[in-house]
Amino acid sequence: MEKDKFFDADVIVIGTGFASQSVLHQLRESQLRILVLEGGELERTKFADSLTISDERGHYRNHHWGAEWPRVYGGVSRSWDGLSAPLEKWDLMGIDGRPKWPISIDELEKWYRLAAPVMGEDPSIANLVKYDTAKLFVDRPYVKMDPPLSYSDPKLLTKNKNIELRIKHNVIRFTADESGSFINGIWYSVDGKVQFAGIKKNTRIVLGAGGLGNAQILLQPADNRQVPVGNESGLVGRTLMAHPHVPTGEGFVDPAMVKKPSWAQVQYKKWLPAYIVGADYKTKLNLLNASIAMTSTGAKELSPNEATIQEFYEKKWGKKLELQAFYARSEQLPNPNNRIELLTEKNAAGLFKMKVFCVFGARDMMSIDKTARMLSDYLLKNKLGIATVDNDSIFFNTWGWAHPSGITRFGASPKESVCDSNGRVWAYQNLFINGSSLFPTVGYANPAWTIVALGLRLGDYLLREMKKS
Amino acid sequence: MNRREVLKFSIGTVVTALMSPFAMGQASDRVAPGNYQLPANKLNDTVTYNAGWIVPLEDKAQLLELEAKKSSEQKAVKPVDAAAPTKDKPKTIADRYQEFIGKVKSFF
Repeated sequence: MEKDKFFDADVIVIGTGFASQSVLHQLRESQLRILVLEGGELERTKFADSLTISDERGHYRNHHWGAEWPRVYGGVSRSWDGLSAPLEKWDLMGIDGRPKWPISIDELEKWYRLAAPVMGEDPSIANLVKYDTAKLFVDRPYVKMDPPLSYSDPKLLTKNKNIELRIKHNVIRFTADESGSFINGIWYSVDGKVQFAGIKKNTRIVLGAGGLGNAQILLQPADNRQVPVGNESGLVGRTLMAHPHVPTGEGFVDPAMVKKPSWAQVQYKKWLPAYIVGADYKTKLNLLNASIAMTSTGAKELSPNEATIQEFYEKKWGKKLELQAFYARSEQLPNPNNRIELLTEKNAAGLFKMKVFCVFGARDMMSIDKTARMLSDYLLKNKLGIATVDNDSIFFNTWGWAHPSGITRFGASPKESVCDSNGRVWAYQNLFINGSSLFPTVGYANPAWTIVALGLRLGDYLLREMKKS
Repeated sequence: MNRREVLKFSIGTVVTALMSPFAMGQASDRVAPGNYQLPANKLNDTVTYNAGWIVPLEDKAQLLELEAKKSSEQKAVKPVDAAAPTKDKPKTIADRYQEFIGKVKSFF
């Protein structure tokens, strides 16, 4: 181990995915000297891919989070297809086993609006956070951001003279000074060779290594202290959440149900039709936030059973009905038993590997089931369609493999959270986190847009804070 | 506990054990026979009809009738189909499932 280096920068950003690039988006025009450390290379390599493999237990489709967690420049933005949706006021409320978000929906909406153009979208899509909460069902389509945000070209970053990019730098853990309130060094490895670099007290560190990666670094054991640096709260790695995914059935629906939505003056470019239960009903019925998306099945040969349904109700209601596949995604209730732990074995970069537990609970699945049944009933009562609800698919084949969240969550109190409302780790003055690991609750949809919104907010905060000092 | 209480307790235990099958057991003639029909799975005015469709209760009879007709029509057509040479393998349920999952995965 070498211990002879020093990272001299105003801000050190760890990772180059959405979480980091959005912070850099705010900082790049400033005069701040920024050092960016990326564990992977400019393209995927076998060595880098091997670093994200962990021991996984629970509801996984492919038993490999790593497949969706590439360690490469740009991170998951390289393979993202553009699908996302914003959180709503109801998602941020602390109700019945769910912690509260430390920021309001009005503030988040502002950052969604600013994040939309960064993602190649119209700012009006931020209007989606507001809707009539008293409605039984609300059309809340997923936005298919186009072109998908992809950070594959490092020149976009390095053309700024104040930014230095170092690839193949895998951060292992941090060290703290004697007062225990500043990070004063970083252990990292290059091609498996472990090294150390000291940093100054006034250097800000932004950790954006991914929904799982952030916690993995903060859980690495320290040499001279019992508590890993960053896990003073004891909450790092707890309440891991993912999104349960499940096909709930199919339905013959009125084409009006899948038409381009026109409410709230939202200028959609591309969208995926989806419905959620209104917030008032969710509270009343004790449901989590689940959405049912509709996808055209295209031309397929109908079974006598399907043909019967179509013919009968087209005749009865006097309108055309189209076959759609129904697909649900739901939020997961934070559960401390869903967590990550470290194994005793290290990966090739020198980090202790992870063991990941993520199992969906009864309320997660019941929310999908109830939402699907309510939607079928709603379609039927309003003569908008007729649908199936597949019990076996919902309860026996629930799966999820993406969007790990909640394991370094932010909150209003150091007793209940790892980070404060700006994403600063409570115990340290100069360590900040961004990514889905901050989310206290996850909503039902892909988190990319929310990550970027929070990243822009953190970048803005850092700029203001550093200007002051 | 004195001797009288011990005696009362043990007699009580024996009597309870002897009486309980008669008091709580179910007579065999009241157990549902094998061909017993469960009542319709209905909620308000809706009912689950074949393959999990949620339909209004009053439509069920007509739907079953129409489906029976369609199924027999398809059976009648099938022998002709069977005689014709088929180029492509018919898709199995597993194929369709894989196709569907593939479509779904493409959203992410």
